[in-house]
Amino acid sequence: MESLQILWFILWATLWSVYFTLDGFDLGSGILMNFISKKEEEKTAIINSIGPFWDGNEVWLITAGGVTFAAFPEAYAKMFSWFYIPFFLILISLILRGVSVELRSKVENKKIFDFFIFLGSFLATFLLGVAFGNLWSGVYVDSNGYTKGVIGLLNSSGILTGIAFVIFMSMHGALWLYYKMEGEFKLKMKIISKKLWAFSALFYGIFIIFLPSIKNPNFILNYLNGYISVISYALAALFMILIKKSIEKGKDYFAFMKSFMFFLFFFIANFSTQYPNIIPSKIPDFNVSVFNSSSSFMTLKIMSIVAIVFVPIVIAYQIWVYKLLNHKLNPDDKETLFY
Amino acid sequence: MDYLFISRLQFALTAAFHFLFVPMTLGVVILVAVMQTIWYLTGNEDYIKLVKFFGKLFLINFAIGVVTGISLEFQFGMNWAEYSKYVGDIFGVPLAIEATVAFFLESIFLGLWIFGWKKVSPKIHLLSIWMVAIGSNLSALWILFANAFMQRPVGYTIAGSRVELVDFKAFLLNQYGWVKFFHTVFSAYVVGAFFVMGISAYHILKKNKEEIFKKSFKIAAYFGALSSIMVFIFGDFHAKDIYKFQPTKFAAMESVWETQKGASYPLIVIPDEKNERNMIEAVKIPYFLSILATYNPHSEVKGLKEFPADERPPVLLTFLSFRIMVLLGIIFIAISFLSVYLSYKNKLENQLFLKVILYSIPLPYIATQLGWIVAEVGRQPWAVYGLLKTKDAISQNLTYSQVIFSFSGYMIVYTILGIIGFYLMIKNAIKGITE
Repeated sequence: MESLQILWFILWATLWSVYFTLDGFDLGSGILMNFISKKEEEKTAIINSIGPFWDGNEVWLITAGGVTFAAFPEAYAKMFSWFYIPFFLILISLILRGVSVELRSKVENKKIFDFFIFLGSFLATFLLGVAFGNLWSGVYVDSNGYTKGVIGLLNSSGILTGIAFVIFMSMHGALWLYYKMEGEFKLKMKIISKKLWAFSALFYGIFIIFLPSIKNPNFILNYLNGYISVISYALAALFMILIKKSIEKGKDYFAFMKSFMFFLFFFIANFSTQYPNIIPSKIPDFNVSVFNSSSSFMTLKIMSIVAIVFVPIVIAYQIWVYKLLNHKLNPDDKETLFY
Repeated sequence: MDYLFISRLQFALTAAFHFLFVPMTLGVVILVAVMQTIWYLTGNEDYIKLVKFFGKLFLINFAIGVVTGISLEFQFGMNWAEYSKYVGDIFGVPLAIEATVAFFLESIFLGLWIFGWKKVSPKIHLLSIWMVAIGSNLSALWILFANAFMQRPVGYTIAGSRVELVDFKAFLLNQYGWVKFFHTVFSAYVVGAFFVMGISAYHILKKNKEEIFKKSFKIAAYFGALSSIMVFIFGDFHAKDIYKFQPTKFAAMESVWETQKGASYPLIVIPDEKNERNMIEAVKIPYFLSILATYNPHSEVKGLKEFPADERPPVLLTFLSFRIMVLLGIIFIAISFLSVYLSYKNKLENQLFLKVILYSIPLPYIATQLGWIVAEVGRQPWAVYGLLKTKDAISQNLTYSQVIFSFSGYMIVYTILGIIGFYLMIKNAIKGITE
């Protein structure tokens, strides 16, 4: 039983990490769109670049949510009812953004849609950062549960992680666009990627330095996950440095893939610091852990079989579809655009 | 009004709004896939024009359907935490499987379909629309099995303060779930068929590429005729399951107060909930209610008085929704068979008939909404029939102001979405085939 619960912590953390890594670049593109494009064709190209993929990426969120429900119902119930308002705002943001991305091409006055693409992407990214920053540093849970509301989540770790999410995902988005674009716009994306890289690198540095103070300072002593998180933070830093080289050499694909790896390790690192808790409490007695919140053996077993059979299939056809649609987009060449 | 009531209203309205878009997705995707298959096999350009035209309407619908689905999955945890803790061991499983097995298929291949027109071979492009069709219908299967557990829990044991899964096979073989699945997806196909028939009728009326639209009309008419019959058949099976497993819902659907053997079926009924009786019962068909419940004309039908007053669902709403739904179901069979006949005889000229078809578009939408009212209002006061009451399922830590805030937010955003969706749908539907 215990090993299944541990397996499901790993799968749970992996699903959320994959979600952030994948949706990260389309959220980032959504944050950046209005600021980096002047012409309508440039906006169209940006929307075309994320259009085929954002929905499939967001299904990882639905899956992560569904898996939290199925594998750790107690944690699922607590997490979403305790963080009621932030999650409500995240959902509304994702709704507005998704509809705007899909329907933008079908209306004449696109201004309001462009605004919602920015607002939805920005707010969802920031608030996901706030929510998960709190999970990684520990939540004020006592015998009444979490009762401090939205304000209680806007502490230093919540805000720091929220800003980190916005900056990192903007870089991720810029690198995606750098990879997907062609022509003059690509060069512009290269410059923007470089700038956002500098911000991200700086902020990652700040994040690492402040880490021990916003987290339980003992987390590093927590032997196994301590090692995993330290190694993952180091690997994330390594990939962060490597991104710069790829941008400078003009290797757009590798730059994006390194950003992808940075994201994966960044999230693995953070999630492993909270092991074995789904909702770590500042008061350890009230930790919501995999051991006191999981489903029954039978349910975890069935879920394991489903995950082991279907997740690789999903990953395989998702990669296949990415490859089928790997063409470049040039705002100055209408032939490459869709609408 | 307390936060329990607002939470119920919020779930009901957000789910109902979501389900305005779901059935069209389920039905129209199959019709579009069929049209694209015909084009692929015959090379007839008319069909690819139809695919592009109805595909566009499908995508407008899908955009709103998909985003409004996200909020439902998370509302269980946000507003119904006690429910989630109580049933999560079982209820979470189909939700997680739905995402893993169905949503990915649907979303990833829809992206390929929208953006792959010139980028992938016609074969892969055709495959992608069928994957979307399979994915969306599979998702219906899993979510309806989750719902079936709330209606007729099976394969579980009560372990402390929650239910736990002990027999996954029993869960998957829940007869209630299978019948409900077929009843629901066929009703969605009726929505899709009437949608395509109605829009086609409009353009036939306007003499705008009417020869092309007669083709889509024909396909949709056959699809609608078959589906409306199947809805009816599975509806009958479903009623018998409800009689067996949810006697209070069955009694409320038919407004039966007294337990009776060889029960007759009054065509005209006016329920009087306050006095636990029907004000009027007239035009009785002998034995028919017993036949509806069990096939056996002499069987006993339990009345509402058999159950404590606090375990009965609201009668009037359940009863009216059910009656109107059934009436509409009969109308759908009549309309779609007439459509098949006229389409087969190539006599799609009658103006009045075409107008009737056009203005029938909303009817299946109304019927599916009423069906859900019967299913969910009729389930009350239970969240999980016989196990957990709705009032005990609510999150304990919420405050009135939190729930009012989210409720208002959903109402504002969904109203805007509704207006945008309706406007774009009408605009593009009227535009017709332009190339």
